[in-house]
Amino acid sequence: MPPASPFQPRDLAALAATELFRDASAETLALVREHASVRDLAAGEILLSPALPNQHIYLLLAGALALRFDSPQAPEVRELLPGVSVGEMSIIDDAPPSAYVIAKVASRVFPIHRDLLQRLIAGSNPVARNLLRLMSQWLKANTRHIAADQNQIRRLTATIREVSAQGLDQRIPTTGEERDFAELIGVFNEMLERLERSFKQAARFSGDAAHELRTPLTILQGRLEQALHAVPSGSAMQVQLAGILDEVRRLSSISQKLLLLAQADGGRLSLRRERCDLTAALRDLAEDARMLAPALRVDTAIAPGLAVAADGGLLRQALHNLIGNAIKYNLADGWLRIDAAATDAGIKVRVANASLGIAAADRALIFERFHRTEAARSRGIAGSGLGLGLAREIARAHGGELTLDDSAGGETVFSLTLPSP
Amino acid sequence: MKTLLVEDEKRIADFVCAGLREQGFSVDHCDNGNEGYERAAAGSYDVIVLDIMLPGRDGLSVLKGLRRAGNATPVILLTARNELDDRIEGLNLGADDYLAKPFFVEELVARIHALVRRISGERQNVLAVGGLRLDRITREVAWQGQTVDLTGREFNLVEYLMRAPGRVFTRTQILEHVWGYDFDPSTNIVDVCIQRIRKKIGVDRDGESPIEAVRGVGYRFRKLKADA
Ligand SMILES: Nc1ncnc2c1ncn2[C@@H]1O[C@H](COP(=O)(O)OP(=O)(O)O)[C@@H](O)[C@H]1O
Ligand SMILES: [Mg+2]
Repeated sequence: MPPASPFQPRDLAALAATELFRDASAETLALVREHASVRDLAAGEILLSPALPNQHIYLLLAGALALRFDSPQAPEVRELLPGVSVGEMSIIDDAPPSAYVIAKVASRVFPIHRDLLQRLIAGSNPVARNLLRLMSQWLKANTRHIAADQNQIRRLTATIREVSAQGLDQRIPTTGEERDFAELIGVFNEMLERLERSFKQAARFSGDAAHELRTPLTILQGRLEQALHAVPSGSAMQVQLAGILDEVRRLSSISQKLLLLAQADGGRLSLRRERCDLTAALRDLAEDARMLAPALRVDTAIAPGLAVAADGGLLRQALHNLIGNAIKYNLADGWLRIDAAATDAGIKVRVANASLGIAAADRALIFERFHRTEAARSRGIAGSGLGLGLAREIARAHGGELTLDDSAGGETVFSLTLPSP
Repeated sequence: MKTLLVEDEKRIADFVCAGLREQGFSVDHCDNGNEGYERAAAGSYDVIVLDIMLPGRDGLSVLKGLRRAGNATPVILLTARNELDDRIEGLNLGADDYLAKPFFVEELVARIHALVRRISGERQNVLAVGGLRLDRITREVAWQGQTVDLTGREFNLVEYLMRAPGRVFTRTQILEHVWGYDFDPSTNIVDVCIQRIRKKIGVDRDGESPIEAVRGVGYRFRKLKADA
């Protein structure tokens, strides 16, 4: 006895009743039956499972995508035929560019070889016509569907962008327009949750560490200062004490930066806002730049009377970080330029300098904590890698932004934008 | 100058008291907010240096209480940024100055002087040591009668040194006072600034600059020979 044919007369009746096999002759149905096999499904084969009321037809494109066509509420194909599933390309990986349709009759799945389909098409068989009609209907329906998806995806992307800008404590709503993406949103929200937890832990840790360090650092610095003034002026002891005091300051400075960053992560960088004379601050910084780097050409175009409502100490810190970098990473006999002006988009400060440039791979990373470029390290330039990250947090806490601009080779440009008061 | 220090950490209070006394202040100290408030309200202090985190009433509550009771004694808060959360923004308590821990006592001294000067109507605007004369209001500088044009940084630096002739200030102390924000301590900006000041001021009859370098440590304002 030959292996049991998957077709039973009952199935044939069902098949004939479906759209696909409507008008199919007994001959065609016989052909389908002849070619049908559950087992030998291979790439390029067509699997049809016309069944009422929920009829599912899948078109699998080799090597890339599986597209479902017909009823959008179809259950997954993997339920129908273990080992073959829509979208699992391993099955048709080394297939010639081809397609097969998976269809189902009741709970059964029947592959139909492409030769058969070709014959059906060649012979203008009503089944082929039906299939083409179904496919074009499907395409119409689904390009609409895809277009709708794209809108939803765009909205979703906007939401995600907003969420990540506002902070890790935000969640994407799973109701409303985006409900089709409920699962994706769920996963994303879970990820945010985990991120938030570990960020908070990390932030709390460095915040706590900095907090705990403050008292000992205060004592250490105070004692050293006291000792320094107690020993004879210019004595070897005083020189040593001054050296240690420098190191303690360095430590405090890192600890202070970590504390600020931890606060920024926790969304509670407390600002002591006051009216700040940005023009004066920038002029002072330009004066500093000229003192620090007499070999550099320092140009400024700082509009007079620029004022912002900002935490003066933090703002100066951010600007100092930018200009300090522009000096540190400059070229010998290079240049540095500070521009500041009020624009429609707020007050804009631009710090540009001659440089070896920042490698594309580094561009996205330089705002990360502790990230220093290989170039900076290999040139032996001192730094902690915290400066830009902190400057950006300070900008954002003020409702502004700090960006690394695109620039010609041989220069680096940072733009700081602050809201007008 | 009569000062009240309210600070619970004994080891901090120790060096602050010692440092202030060394610079001619008379200092009372207490280590909790309740006593701090009592003393501040009762005594007649020129300035109160107040820690924020204190047992008993915390520093902010002490300050608020004093202001509410009409006590206007100048207050410098010893604080850390994260202790100054929205509470202080909301309260806007009327502290006269803030100093973040860790701090230099030298900086505290400078702040106290500036504060008291401000409050007392700027009586001591002019600072004159040796041949150098400095007007804190007009920011005019004269060396042996000749006007000297100093930038903002240069002026602040000279003023800081001049406050205590003969006393050495380290580069980091100077940085902290004049520039305020975190410079890498290895920066040479202080030295460059000093060189520029010296060049602008010139030397006295003996060929000496009023600003002396103390090698490996920092700088000091030359003490008058007669004072030495
Ligand atoms: N103005 C600049 N020109 C060229 N490279 C820069 C500039 N500013 C920053 N960088 C690069 O970005 C990195 C991170 O900068 P930052 O966060 O300030 O840390 P640090 O200066 O302590 O290394 C630096 O190590 C440097 O390689
Ligand atoms: Mg305390």
